[in-house]
Amino acid sequence: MLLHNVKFILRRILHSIFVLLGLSMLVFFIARMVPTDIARSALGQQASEQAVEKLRDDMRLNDPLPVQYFHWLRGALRGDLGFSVTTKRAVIVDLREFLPATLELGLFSLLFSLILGQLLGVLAARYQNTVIDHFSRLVAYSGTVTPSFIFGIMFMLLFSYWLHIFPTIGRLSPGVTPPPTMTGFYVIDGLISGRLDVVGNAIWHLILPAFSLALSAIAQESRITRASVVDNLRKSYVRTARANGIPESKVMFKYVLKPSLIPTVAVMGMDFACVLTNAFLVELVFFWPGFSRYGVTAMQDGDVFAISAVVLVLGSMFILMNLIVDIATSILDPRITLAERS
Amino acid sequence: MQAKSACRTRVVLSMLVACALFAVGSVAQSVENVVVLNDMAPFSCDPAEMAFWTHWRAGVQMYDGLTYPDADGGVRPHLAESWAVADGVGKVWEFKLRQGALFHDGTEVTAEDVVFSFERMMALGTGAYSRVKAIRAVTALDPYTVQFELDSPISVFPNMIWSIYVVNKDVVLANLGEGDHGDMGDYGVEWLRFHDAGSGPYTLVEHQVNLELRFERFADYFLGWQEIAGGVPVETVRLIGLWEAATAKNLMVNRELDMTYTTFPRQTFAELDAIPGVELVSLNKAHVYGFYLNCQAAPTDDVHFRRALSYAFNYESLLPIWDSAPGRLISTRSPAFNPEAPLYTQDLDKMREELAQSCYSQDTPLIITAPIGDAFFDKMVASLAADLSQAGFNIKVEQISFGETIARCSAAETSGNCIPTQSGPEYPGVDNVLSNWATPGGYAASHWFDDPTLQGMIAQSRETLDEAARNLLYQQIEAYILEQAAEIFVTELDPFRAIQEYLIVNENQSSGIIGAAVNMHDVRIDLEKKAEFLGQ
Repeated sequence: MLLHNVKFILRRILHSIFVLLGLSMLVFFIARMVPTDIARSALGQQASEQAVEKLRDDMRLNDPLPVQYFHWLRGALRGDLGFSVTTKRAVIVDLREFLPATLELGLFSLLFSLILGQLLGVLAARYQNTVIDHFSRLVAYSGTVTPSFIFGIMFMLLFSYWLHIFPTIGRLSPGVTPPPTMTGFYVIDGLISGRLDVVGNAIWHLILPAFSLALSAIAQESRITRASVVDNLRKSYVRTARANGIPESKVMFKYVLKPSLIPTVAVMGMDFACVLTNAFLVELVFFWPGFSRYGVTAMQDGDVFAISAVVLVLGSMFILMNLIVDIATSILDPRITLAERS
Repeated sequence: MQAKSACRTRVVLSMLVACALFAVGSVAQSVENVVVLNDMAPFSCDPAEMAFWTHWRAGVQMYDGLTYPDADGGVRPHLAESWAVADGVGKVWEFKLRQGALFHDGTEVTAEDVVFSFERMMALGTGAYSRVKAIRAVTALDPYTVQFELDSPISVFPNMIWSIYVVNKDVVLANLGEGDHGDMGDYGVEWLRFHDAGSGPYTLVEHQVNLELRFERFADYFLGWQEIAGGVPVETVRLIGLWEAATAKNLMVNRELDMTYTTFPRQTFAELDAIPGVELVSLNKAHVYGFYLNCQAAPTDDVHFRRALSYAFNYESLLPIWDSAPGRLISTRSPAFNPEAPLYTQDLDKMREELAQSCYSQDTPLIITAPIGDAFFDKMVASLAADLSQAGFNIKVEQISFGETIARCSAAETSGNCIPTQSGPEYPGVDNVLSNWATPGGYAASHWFDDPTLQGMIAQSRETLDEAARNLLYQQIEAYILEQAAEIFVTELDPFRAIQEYLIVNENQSSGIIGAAVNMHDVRIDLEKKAEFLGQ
């Protein structure tokens, strides 16, 4: 079985490479087909024609598109994703700086959705057709139909503007110096370097944007968990466990929750990937120096190398999360092999 | 029972941990001598790469030029204490430098630094290159005298070069990177993007790309630091790259933002004005909004058709919304302002008269190019489209991205017929506006009005050293452009900033030329008032 799963994973990785290749080609060509003078936009209207032409040469913009793609792909395979005309640095440097901020935000968002989504779903199932269930339904509908950035602005208004509980912007407060960079995750780097002030401050800053992003995932996961728990509560082994005098909390969290998590885990993985792709507006609202905000700036400035890199990274995230979800599901339910799950 | 008790214990412990983290992590606001302003964060701090207004606003904190815009529409001495035409014509200029002006590393600004800075700009060809391209040679005659030799006479040369910043030659040479300029390598571009080699009132201490620039006051700044109305100089300036209006409003209320940037919608400024302790400050700068009419594309290549369009537009419709003045080539604040300029008004009879003389009919398709993303342009385009439609013209509005607009405006055939434009002065004087007429083509000059008479008039104004005579020429140029109807002038607007009331802005500051308008050397802070506002 283990060998079978390993083979399956290797096959999936190979397939993923082809998917990424196709994605990179698509985004590369689309970014360059938009009628914009990339070099002139980057240097401004007052730059000399020689300087603009030099930049076109450096970026190979005068080459045929397939030739441009070949050179870009060759560089990408060596870790060189090109040069950003807006940040004036290598795109890979930008990724190293901005991606951890978005990943940290995404992971906290995932944590919120995991805890609150499951909690809400279990409570709604346990107390079906009561106020708790109706409240959970209300949260689910609101979370599904409302875009994340609207929640972001509302929470900012409520918690920063009126109540002054949470900060408005940024990853850290002014005057709090970031910890030495090891992972780029301020919470982890703060823990490693023993800077509890940074850990606390970073979490304080993470709460509003992460919660804004998490709400649609909480909505979805709570409904799926509720349905799954309701279904499992009717199973005979649960009746047996109760009849044997096992405490209700143990029945719920040990015997019911684990099998109920299977459909949720599948959704959770995609939710994480969706969080990353939806983060751009939340990052703009909260002035979060993340990867998605970088992508927005790149698109506004026609920064073709940065755009390609952003889309490639997001595509990779989707593929990776898909694979992780498949593995996690097969662990949760050993009856399911990876091949069946896919 | 035991399980419930254990559960309760877990909840209480979790809450205690959360409170502890908050206690450790939350930071109360303190009364610091720090001013935060928001703007589009520039990505490069190299003066030779400063191509956009966001760059100049940062550049003015770190660097100085030879001259500086004054409140009367001209320039005053800055690093140069005087200047003069050396050949009587305006092709050779000599600038005498002020002695004792220091760079941030404590060394003196000399003629050698000025020569290096200009030669660097000319070699790189980036940034505000168009303002130095007429320089044939720049020479240090002695340690404090610089001579410029131009290709042709330019009477307003001192105005043009105010934001051609002087860099510390020794510092740049010590930080050269690999490049295509022989011994000069990359001319220090790579290093200067993230460091400063200036003499300006503030020195760059941190550059977080895409996020923030942080500056600290340079105590030995050559202009000194006087108190203004009881306020003290600002010690730290943070320029954050935030442009979300909703977020900026929240920050202003919480006093986490002290000064906003100028291009929020007017509605946002009305809301900011309503915040207690926040006031709006006019930048005293004329931004002229209008539509270029493409003079090389049918049907706007016909002067009668262009005049017909000019008579069809309702010039009064937008002015009350923006509380602004009618648009014109020469700003009301300019010494060359002509109250008698023959502006157009909406007159459908005259429109019909002009159409009768045109070789095109009203049914000829007319394209209005509408770059997405500018609130003013959106209103202007909507207004023009409505007026022209109502008057019977066959119009089509094409909404495209700004990048695509720039690309399309690289050729007359693809520019469209009516292209919204706004000219914010980059250097004092009418010549700045006329630079968009001297060289037709591109987005900045998408009127494509390649007219020898106009080129001749502009060249003549550049050769006219006497200001009064030059102003007269400007008025003639304005009348000519109006007669040729190459632009529909919509409005002249004063941009605003919203600032906290504990900031004091020097009333004698510049006329609001792009960049100079937010020179933090002209701002002071009242810390007692700030403490009051923060409730401390």
